[in-house]
Amino acid sequence: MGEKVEVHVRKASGLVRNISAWDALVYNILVMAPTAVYVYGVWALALFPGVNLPLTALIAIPVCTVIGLFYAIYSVSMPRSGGDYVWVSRVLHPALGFMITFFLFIVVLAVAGSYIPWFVEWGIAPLLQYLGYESVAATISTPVPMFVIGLVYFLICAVIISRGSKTTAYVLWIFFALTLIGFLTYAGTLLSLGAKKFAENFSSLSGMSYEGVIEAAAAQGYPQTFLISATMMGIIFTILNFLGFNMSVYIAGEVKEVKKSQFIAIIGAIVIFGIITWAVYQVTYFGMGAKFIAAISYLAAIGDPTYKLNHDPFFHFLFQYAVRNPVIYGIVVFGWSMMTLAAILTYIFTGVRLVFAWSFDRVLPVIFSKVDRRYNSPYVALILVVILTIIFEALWLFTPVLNYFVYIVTGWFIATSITAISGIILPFKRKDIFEISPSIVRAKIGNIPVISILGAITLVISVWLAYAGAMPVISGPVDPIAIAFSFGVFVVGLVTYFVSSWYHKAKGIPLELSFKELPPE
Amino acid sequence: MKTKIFFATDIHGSERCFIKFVNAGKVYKADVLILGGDITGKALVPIIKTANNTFHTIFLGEEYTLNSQKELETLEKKIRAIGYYPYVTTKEEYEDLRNNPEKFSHVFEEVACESVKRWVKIAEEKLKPLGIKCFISPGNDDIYAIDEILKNSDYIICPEGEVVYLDEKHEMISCGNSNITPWKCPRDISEEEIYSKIEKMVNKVDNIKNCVFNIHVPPYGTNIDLAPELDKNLRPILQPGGGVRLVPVGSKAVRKTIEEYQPLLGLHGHIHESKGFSKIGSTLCVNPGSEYTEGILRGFLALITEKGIKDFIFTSG
Repeated sequence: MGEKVEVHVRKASGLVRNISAWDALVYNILVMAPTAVYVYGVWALALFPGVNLPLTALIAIPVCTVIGLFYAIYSVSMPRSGGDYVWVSRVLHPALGFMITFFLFIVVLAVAGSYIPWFVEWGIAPLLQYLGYESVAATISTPVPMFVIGLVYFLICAVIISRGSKTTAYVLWIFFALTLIGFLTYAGTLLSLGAKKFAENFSSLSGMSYEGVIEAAAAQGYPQTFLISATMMGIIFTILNFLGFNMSVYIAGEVKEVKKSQFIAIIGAIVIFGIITWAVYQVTYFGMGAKFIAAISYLAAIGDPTYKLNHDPFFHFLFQYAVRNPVIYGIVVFGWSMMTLAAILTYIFTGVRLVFAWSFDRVLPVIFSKVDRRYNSPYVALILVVILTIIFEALWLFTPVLNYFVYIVTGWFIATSITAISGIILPFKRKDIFEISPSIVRAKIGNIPVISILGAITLVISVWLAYAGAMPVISGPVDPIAIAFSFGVFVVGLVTYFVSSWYHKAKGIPLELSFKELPPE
Repeated sequence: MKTKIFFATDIHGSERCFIKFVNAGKVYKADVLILGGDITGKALVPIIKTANNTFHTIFLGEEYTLNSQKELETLEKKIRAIGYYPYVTTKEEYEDLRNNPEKFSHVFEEVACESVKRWVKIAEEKLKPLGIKCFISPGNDDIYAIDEILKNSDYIICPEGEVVYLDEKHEMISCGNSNITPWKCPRDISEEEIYSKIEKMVNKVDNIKNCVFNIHVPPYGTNIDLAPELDKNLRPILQPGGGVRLVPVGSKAVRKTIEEYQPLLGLHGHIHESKGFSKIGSTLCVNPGSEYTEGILRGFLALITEKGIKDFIFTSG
């Protein structure tokens, strides 16, 4: 017939959400800490001699895109804050939903606590040192001043988040712009100068010889060409750098036009982060020399006596030899520092949303879902999360406890595997949800739902990455305490859920009813 | 004595949500079901019957040509699931509806009433054998014509404007009206009228401390009455950072009565995006929110005793 038939709508109110697709995109990018590859790249070069870093970034993009599509589609089917807490609770069991997001919660807060030393030791202090304030740099790099800096910043985060999600998004845009300026300055400078100028400066200013570094590493057996085996391992490592690209699923209840926004936010974040990662690696190879950067990373890691720099060979530290201009160097290091602060803000924000979701479902006491009326912000949850972040910061700075958290990657991908399993069976176990989901969720290839296919691929990748994360090359020698520590978080999550469940059941209303399926027939 | 009550609201014509509501009694083992206002839908989907006995329509942006009665029924079910009303018509009548708002309103009212009649029948059939009490109230979006249908049921109770007993110890008053909204809905009235209506009911309540206020519009200035501030063209006003500015839009009269009388519980809806709870003095006021377009029934399940509210959770079924 082909004739337009209009739906007649009468006047009535509707739902409004606050975070745009682009806000969510920036949020996802900053969760991944985009220029952290200045550090990760050095670690990868040391861990996997012969790795071709830019290639790992290019391969990681499509791999992560598959997982990203899975999360985006799943979020469209149930666009509520809490992400896989809600999905897994509905499809498998609320205890599992709580357990995996409790793990995520602990991880993001632990990482938030750990980023203050990154900000100080690898951001502000080197900049001060470069500017000649060496004693100040040394002072603030000690635990107590770092703790105080962290405390102040966490309180600033609390103020920002308490003003509502849009204000937080606005601040994240500013951080993103500063990070991007730092990255573009880094890339532009290296591209314009080239490796020859860098080599000259390095040899004359560092107390080491550019060629000597390459020769020393070669003498230690560092490969002089790219190796496929090392690159394959490096791909796993680079994929790990992408962790967090799907974080917008945890704030889906606040995202506008979620059906298209999640795709923009998740897939866009993977692509942009991938491009930044690839570009950082590529321009570093071009501007400092691939052999040199690999060699110096390796020498630093093995503690070779020829390594004489008084700092790690992180890309942004070595950048000082590319250009002797304090303003340009300052922009790069400042941009890097802003990236760490942005990441902390996203982690605290995510933690608050999770606590609120759990409390709203009564898994946690109801007090944590109290909302500030003026800014619509869950202030009690915010106070809890900030206190926990401060505790994690203290643990990082004053104790070795969190060093036992080395199986974090394995735990993360075990959590992802559980989500993947729930996605695979969603169309069959929760037909009621699946059948009324938007067409993109209901899409099939042959007779198999696309969400099940993507879930299966996500499961395979997750199991692979969970296994890789436990390999000695990444997590070091097997330490039973470390295994117990990381997996203990899952156990604490489960115990917390069941204690809460028992409490409510004893009072008369089982917690499981929160997500109990109601027959639609 | 313990009574388990289940409250849901603002399902706006979603038949899927209504059936879930009815089934919630058995699944949650509730003694009493209460459906807050705004039970009728907002949109009509014309399905045009063609000369060769096929049907044509566009639904959620997808074009459908249906070749059999079975296909038609399947689509009608889908349309009802999200709160729209399917309406099989001819091309001529469709054109007439497009150009004649009065006729559209009349047809819409007929279709909405038919839907409520069907729902009442479903509820009677499913709940009578289980002995679960069921209260269904209208809301400010609902036309007055549905009240008679609800009141004509021999099982469903329409508590609007009345004092009813949930159990031996707990009474409930109900008011589906709202303070004036930008949309000028059928049951929008002034704050003074709301206050007067509530007060009339309160005067008939025996034990106000154990009374439940089933009042569609939430109390003003709480966490459960926040909605986007709108300009004169009904577009959300943005803050300097680009966020939607949220303002309290609840009823001051409702707040005043709750402050004055301190009932046990306030059951509210109206603002879909403002789900949550708030305490006014000793009164717990809740708004379970609504996600009827997703086919999800958001609800509030509480165990009440003579001594108060023993426990509660929000549900998403």
